This record gives sequence, structure tokens and C-alpha cells, in this order.
Amino acid sequence: MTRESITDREAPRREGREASDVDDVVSRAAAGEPEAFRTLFLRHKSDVARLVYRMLNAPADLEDVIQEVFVQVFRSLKDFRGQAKFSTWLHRVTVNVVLMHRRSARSRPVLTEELPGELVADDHQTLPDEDVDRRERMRAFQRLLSRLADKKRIVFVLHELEGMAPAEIADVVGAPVLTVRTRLFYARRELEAMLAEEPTLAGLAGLATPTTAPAPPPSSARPAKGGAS
Amino acid sequence: MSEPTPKNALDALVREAKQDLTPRELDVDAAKWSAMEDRILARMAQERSPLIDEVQKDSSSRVRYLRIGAAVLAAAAAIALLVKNDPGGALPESATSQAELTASSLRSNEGPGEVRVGGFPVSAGHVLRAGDVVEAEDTRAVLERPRKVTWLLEASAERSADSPPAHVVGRARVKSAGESLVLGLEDGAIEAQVTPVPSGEAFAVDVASGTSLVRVAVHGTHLRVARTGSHVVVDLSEGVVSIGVPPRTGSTYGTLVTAPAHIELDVVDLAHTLRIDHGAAAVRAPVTLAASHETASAAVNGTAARAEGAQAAGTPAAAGAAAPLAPATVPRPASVPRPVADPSHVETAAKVDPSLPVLPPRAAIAAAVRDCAAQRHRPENVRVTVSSSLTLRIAAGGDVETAQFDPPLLPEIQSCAATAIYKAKLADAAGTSVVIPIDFSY
Repeated sequence: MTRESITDREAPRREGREASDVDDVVSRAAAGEPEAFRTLFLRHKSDVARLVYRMLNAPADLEDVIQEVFVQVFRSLKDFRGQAKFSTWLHRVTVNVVLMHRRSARSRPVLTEELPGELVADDHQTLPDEDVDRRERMRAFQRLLSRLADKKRIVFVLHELEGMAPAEIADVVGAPVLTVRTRLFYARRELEAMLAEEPTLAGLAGLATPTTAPAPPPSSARPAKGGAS
Repeated sequence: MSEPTPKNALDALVREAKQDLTPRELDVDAAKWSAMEDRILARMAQERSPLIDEVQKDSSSRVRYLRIGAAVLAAAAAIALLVKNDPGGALPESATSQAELTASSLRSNEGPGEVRVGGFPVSAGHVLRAGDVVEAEDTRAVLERPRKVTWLLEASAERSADSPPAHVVGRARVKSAGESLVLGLEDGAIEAQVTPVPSGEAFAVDVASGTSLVRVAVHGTHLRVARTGSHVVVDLSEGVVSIGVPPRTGSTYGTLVTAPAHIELDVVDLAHTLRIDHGAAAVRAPVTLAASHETASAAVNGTAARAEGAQAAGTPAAAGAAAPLAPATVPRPASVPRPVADPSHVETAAKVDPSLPVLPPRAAIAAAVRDCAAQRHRPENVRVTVSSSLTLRIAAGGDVETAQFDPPLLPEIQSCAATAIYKAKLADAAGTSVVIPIDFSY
């Protein structure tokens, strides 16, 4: 028997153990055990932070929103019945909190003009040209993302950046899979159109060379060209 | 070699973003994570007790049913007693501490849509805390802070041109849940019945737009604050409000406006846009928002509010005070036949017998309820104050189809009043609902 086949056979068992461990931690956290909640926080903080960062485009609010996500998780854990994976449920909470934050921010008074954290940091750092260019591109990309409607931005970030399947995204956003695919299609189409309007990304064509363009994205979800299905 | 098309460019950007679009500063700063963890755990500790109570409540259906039973018993006790000789015996300690922890709780959802807190749909009984954002989409959410304020949140009737037509959302953030309940109105309208307080501000609504912020602060009143963008309309049907810029501490110093008043202002330029119309006709008719288990006067005088029924049943008054009371339908007495949906009957029934004394039906019903309550035995040194709403559904010919007290009165009072209620004939159209405020003391 080869080593590979042994690994294959053990994989489901390992996944089962991990799932049962997650269930145990979640149920203990839901019962109000602080140590279990701390474990959840430590396990998932990076995922939550990354998702919030990608959806929010407001570095100054990042920590507040992450904190709010975990407070909401704490408040809502008792309602988590395990119908979905915990990670899917956590994504749902995160998306909801980000949306609430964005809606609230629109009607909140702006007391001072704040520079995003990254811009402040850059002033004190000497970065290689390539890094500077890359950061500029990412900021430009975030600007484009923030111009998308909430619903489209969410599915785009979850699918394209977080690698979630449309069926799982459907669980997160509470919409049919077909709707998710449609939103993905239009999100891509709008972003492609916006690329031309963003000066920082004008030289992006150079990125799309064979050396920097590996295999096509794993999405079987994307509708065929010209159809929003 | 692939073409440098927008599609390829976007794919390349996405690949790069997967690697680089991450909160790097946060990722490498363990101290920030640690501080955040401390803050979260501190907030958890603050909220822990009530949440665990809820979990434990959920875990046992038997306990839940027992609680429902207790709530039903308590529901029979909507008459609050004003104990003259016991000014120090205010709220039970447990009820007081719970009120301080919670901003409000959702009393009811009065519409087809949903009420959300923090983006999640919630149902009656859900507890709101400082920092929570509550949304009422295609519905009216009625919330309550026991003994202090009953308020509703709904989409504003006025919609701006850029508002989405399909979804109507009222949205508010709980900014402070200390002695004063301060709400930030982000969209829609808030209407509140505030129990007067001897000093300080019991309730305030903040409306922000850009860098401007206006506060409508009240000591005790019935008001409605609605916003459409930066345009704000305040309808004041009772009491006094102060409209101005929120202070860092203490009371709001601004323009004092007394009821009745219809006030319009723009948040961006309060000084030049404030318009006040004291004509009663200009003021929007208030929504009945009676507190479910107490009267305003009880809190004003700082005296105890106890449920008469709870006392009679031998249960602590606190049980009645803490549990929201479900509206109670008044059964039709056997002596009063059901209305018949027959046009000829309608015409006959609508005719008024000139020999009968002319008493408006609503006043007659309220008087009947008062008479029934007055027949109740009460100790000599006890004064009873009642505040409830009677909702009547009208059948053909002005007959009463169903009647419901919210909050419910004692069963014997309801039974006593049922005959008068179901014999009444109102001029309202069939299928409509009529709300009669029932407020009296004896």
C-alpha cells in the first residue's frame, strides 16, 4: 500500500475529527464558556480580518468592525443550529456587520478627514518601486470594488478573492445560486469596464502576459460570455 | 501570448489581490490582536449574564412553557398600583439592573416585513444593547424600555428621490443606554411615548448629516422624529422637547418647543431652517404607544409600580413588570349575538333610537370599562391608575367583531366590559380597526 493511498483513506476521518472539534468548541462557546470563545477568536480572527478588509475599504475602521463581528458572533451563537458549516455562518455574520457598518457610515458625521492607516505608514517607509506600484494597484482595485453595489461586491469578494463556491455564497447571502452567479457576472463586467477609468491601472495590460497569467480561475460558476443566466 | 484584454487584466488583478489585499499591518501586530481580544472579552463579560440566561431559557422547553404560563398569569395583571405610602419601594432591584443593561426590547413587529438587529432577523423579546443597529424593513418595530419609553421605528412616509422604492427601511443605532436612551436615527422615523422624569433627559434622538448633528431631547412626551436625508420633521403631541447640538455631558441646550408643535429643520443648518408650527392641525396624529405594564404617573412620582393581578395571584410584582404582556382578546358574551353580514340588517342597525341618551359609542365603551374597574375592591390607601388601548375590529353595520385590550386588563374587568363593548355600534366602515385609549384612575 502506498503512502498516498493511506493519506487518502485518512482524510475523511481527519475531516470528521476536525468537524467534531469545531462543533464542540462552538457549543461550549454558545454556552457562555469564555475560553471556548477565545479559541474561536484565535482560530478565525485572520479570516475575519481579511474578509472585512477586502469588503470595507476603510482601514481606519478595520479593528472596530472586526471587534463588532466577534461581539455579534457571541450574541448570535445561541442561534447557530449547525445547518451550515460554522465558517459559512461566520462569513454571513461578517458580511452583515460590514454591510451595517457601511450603511451607518453613510449617515454618520465625518468629524475629521482621516488618512487610511496604510497611507500613513507609507510615509515612513522606503519601499522598492515594485512594492509601491503593487500597493497603488491594490488601492486602486479597492476603490473599484467599493464602487460596486453591495450585493455584487460581496459575491465578487467571496468568490474571486476568498475562493468560495457559489452554492456556499448562496448560503451566506441568502439568495439562490443562480442569483449569485448573475451577480458575479455583472460584478466582473462592471469591474472590467471600470478598469479603463482608473489611471493607476492604465498600465495593467502588462500584467496580463503569459508569464503572470497562470491557469484560468476555478470558477465553473461564471456564466458564459454574454449571458447573465 | 494572451491579449491584454480587460478580462485578462482583471484576472491578473484578482490573482495579485488574493496575495496582497490583506490587512498586513494588523496581521503582524500581535499587540493589536491582544488588545482587541481584551476588548471583546470585556464586552462579552458585560453581556454574559443575560445571554446565558437566554441560552438556559432556550435549553429547556419545560422551563420555557412554565415561563409562558407565568407570563400568562402576569398578563392578567395590567393594572398598575400607585402605592401612596411607599415612595421608596420603587422597582425591584433585579428589574432595575436589567433595565440598565438593556437599551430596549422588541415588543412587536407590526407589519409584513422583518425587524433586524445587527443584520439578523429578530423576534419579539429580543434585547437591544448600546451599539446595536436596529432596522425595520417594510414593517413597524415597537420597542420598549420598561418604565421609561415605548418607541417605534419604521420607514418614513416621505421618501427622497434617491431612495430605493422597493424597500422601505427604518434604521436606528442605540448610541447610549444609560439613564437616557439615545438613539441615532439613520433612516426613517422614530415615534416615542416617554415617561416623564423629574430631572435630566429620559430620551433623545440624534440626526446626523455630514459633519452636522442635531439632537431632539425630551424629558417626557409623545413625539415623532422622521428624517428624509438631512430634512427632519418632529411632531410633538405632548410635553416639551429641546432641539440643539448634543452636549458632551449634561442636558441639551437648544430651542425649547412645547406641544402641540410641528417642527421642520435641516440638520445641516439648524439655525436658519428651524420652523415651528403650534397649530394642533399641523401635528401628525400620534400612534398609541402605551407602555405594556405601567403608567407614566407612577414613574414621575418615583413610586412603586406593581401589578394588581400579580399581587392577587401571590406572585412577585416584578414578574409582571418584567414580562411583556400580550394583548388579550375580549370574548363575546353569550348574551350578545354575532353580527350578521346582511345589508338590510346594516341599515336597520345603523339607525339611532332617539329615545336613547346620545353618547358617542367610543366614550360609552371607555365609560363602561371605567365603571367595571371602579366596582373592583381595593385597599383604602391604594390608588389605581390604568393605561391601556382597546382595539376594536368593526363588522358590517358598525358592530364590533373582535375586541382586544393591549395591555390586557384584569379578566373580571374585561368580562364585565364585554357586554357594553359588543353591544356598541360604531360609524366606522366594516373591516376597519378602531383604537380607543383607556386611561383612568380610581
